[in-house]
Amino acid sequence: MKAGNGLKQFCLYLYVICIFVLPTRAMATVEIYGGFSVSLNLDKANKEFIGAPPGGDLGAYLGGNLYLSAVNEENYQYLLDLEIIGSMDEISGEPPLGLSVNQLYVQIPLTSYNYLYCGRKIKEIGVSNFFNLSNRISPRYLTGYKYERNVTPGFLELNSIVTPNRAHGLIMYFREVKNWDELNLATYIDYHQGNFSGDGYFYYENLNDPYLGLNLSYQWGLYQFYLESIWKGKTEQTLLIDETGDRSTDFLAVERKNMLSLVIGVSLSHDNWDLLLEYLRWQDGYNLAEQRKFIDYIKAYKTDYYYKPYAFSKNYLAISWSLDSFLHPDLTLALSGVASFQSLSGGLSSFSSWEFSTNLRYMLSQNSEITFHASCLTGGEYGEFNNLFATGPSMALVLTHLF
Amino acid sequence: MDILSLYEMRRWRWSLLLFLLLLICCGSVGGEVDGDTLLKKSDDTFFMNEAKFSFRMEDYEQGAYKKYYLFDGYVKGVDRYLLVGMEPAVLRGMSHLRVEDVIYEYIKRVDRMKQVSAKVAFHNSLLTLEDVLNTKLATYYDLEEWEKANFEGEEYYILRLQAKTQMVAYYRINILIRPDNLLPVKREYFSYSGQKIKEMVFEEIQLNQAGKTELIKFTMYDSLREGYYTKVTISEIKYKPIPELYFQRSYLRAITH
Repeated sequence: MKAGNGLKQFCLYLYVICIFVLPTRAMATVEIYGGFSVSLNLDKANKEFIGAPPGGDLGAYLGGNLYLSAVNEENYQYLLDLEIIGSMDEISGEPPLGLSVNQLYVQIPLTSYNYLYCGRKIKEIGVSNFFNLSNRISPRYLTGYKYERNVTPGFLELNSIVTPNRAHGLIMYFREVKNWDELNLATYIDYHQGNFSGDGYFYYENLNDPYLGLNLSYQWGLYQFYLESIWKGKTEQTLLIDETGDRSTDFLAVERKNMLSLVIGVSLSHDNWDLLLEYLRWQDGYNLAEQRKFIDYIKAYKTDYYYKPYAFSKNYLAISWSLDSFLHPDLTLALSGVASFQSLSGGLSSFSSWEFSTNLRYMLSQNSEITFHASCLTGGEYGEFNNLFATGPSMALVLTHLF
Repeated sequence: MDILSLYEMRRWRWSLLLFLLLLICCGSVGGEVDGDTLLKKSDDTFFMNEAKFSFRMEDYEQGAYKKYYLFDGYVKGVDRYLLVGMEPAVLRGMSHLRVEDVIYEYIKRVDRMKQVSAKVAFHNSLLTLEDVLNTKLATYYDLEEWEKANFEGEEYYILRLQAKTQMVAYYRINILIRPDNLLPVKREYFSYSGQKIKEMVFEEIQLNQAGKTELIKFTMYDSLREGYYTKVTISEIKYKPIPELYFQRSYLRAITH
């Protein structure tokens, strides 16, 4: 939700401030906290990129979140989450610094066991770490070294604690600001017993398209096993049907029914190190022949194309390992890799690609840290990452401070 | 000496013998405690049963202060424990809940609920989640043996506990207890390889007039790295009924702020 010009921005901020100033007469003190980061990014062009060749980019950016929250004894809560995004340079004549409302919602206790959440809000659904499949409301997705989320602009949730082990909920949400006429509903059951946790979501989007999400996890000592899945009653897959060079006619959205995708994973948490292995079977992805055809087409015509990372091929594998007190008590090392591949049989080397990342974090103080990120790509002739990622090797130095 | 006097003398001897025997038995029952009683007393001092409190943790590395954490805590029974993060900023909107053997972590700003292992370190401190969201030792450890012994020039009761299962963080725990007030003085924690890895030293335990704990201060030392320790202060203890709702996983969303 971005305000346009200065007057709109002023009105927005005034409105937001009123929400907190007026009710706080009956509330506890408004708490203010958050964090900001300054980053220096160096992105080098991917030499194998098959699209229009981009240039490298060296940029300095500012980012962060400011949280304002208030809660009273009856657990009425307000939360305002302002997101700060900025660049040290002007971008296309726009001001370098932008302030937007990331979340703004209220928590209303109807009874001790029933709560209403209303506003613009993040709802985290799913148990996976890399591939967030089952969240149709505000999914989390990988972008380089960090995660981003699509925050649902309109959200209404009724959560009911039925028994100590079970909760139910009903959600009404809008996925995009421009589509306020598309009403989406969801209902869920959340259940846990001992070391087992599970939840199931039924989505009814646009009051026409059904989806079913299922998340299961089991903690066994240091190990956690989990499964996340999404079943789609119907979905659209964009297929290449012709090769004239005209993107508008060469691609066709084909309806697919009963698509089931799933993520299975295992994590191991030790005293000072963690290991994670996660596999995604993405049923909506291209098969071997479709992937080859697509890559050849883009190589030949250099046209624009619709591409969503980690949702292109059929199979993905992620592995990550992190170590605390690496060479120094305040230094943490994390290594991760994500692979995209078609099958383990013929064509593995040609159609697989890898994205490797390293992350070195040093704690300056309890509330400040400096992090170095680096990533690179590699892959076969028809690999996803090495052909379709515009950015190749990249590095970032990020200074973060919390307050 | 006539027969009557002889009879009376024998009677008095038997009475005296019986009295002495009785004295020894009463002395054994009333004057000494057994290991289970000592463990229960130690658990009762450290474990508040049902209360709200403030929990502060300070980490020290190589003898220098490093960081602190402040929580609002709630406990009910032997297997319900809730910590709501208050300070610093990294803790805001985060809470941990223990229900029986399961620990949940919740982050409010992204509405994320996660089940975690009790053995992982609590915010990179010396304490594990099991240490922080603790329960009575008798729940997970058996009393193997106990004795009254001299330790560093003073007399203590020494209890040796062993893990009932391998799902807990420590294989063995030794507890030193003062014989005069039966309050714990020190705990030594041993890994499954037999190595001493941590030592908890109680610096201050204050009891109110009802005999309930109103202040606990202890330090957990890393036995493998000199100069690494965590100081914990449990204070502002209010003994009052805590709703069962506080210890339900689904309620974490409402109570975390």
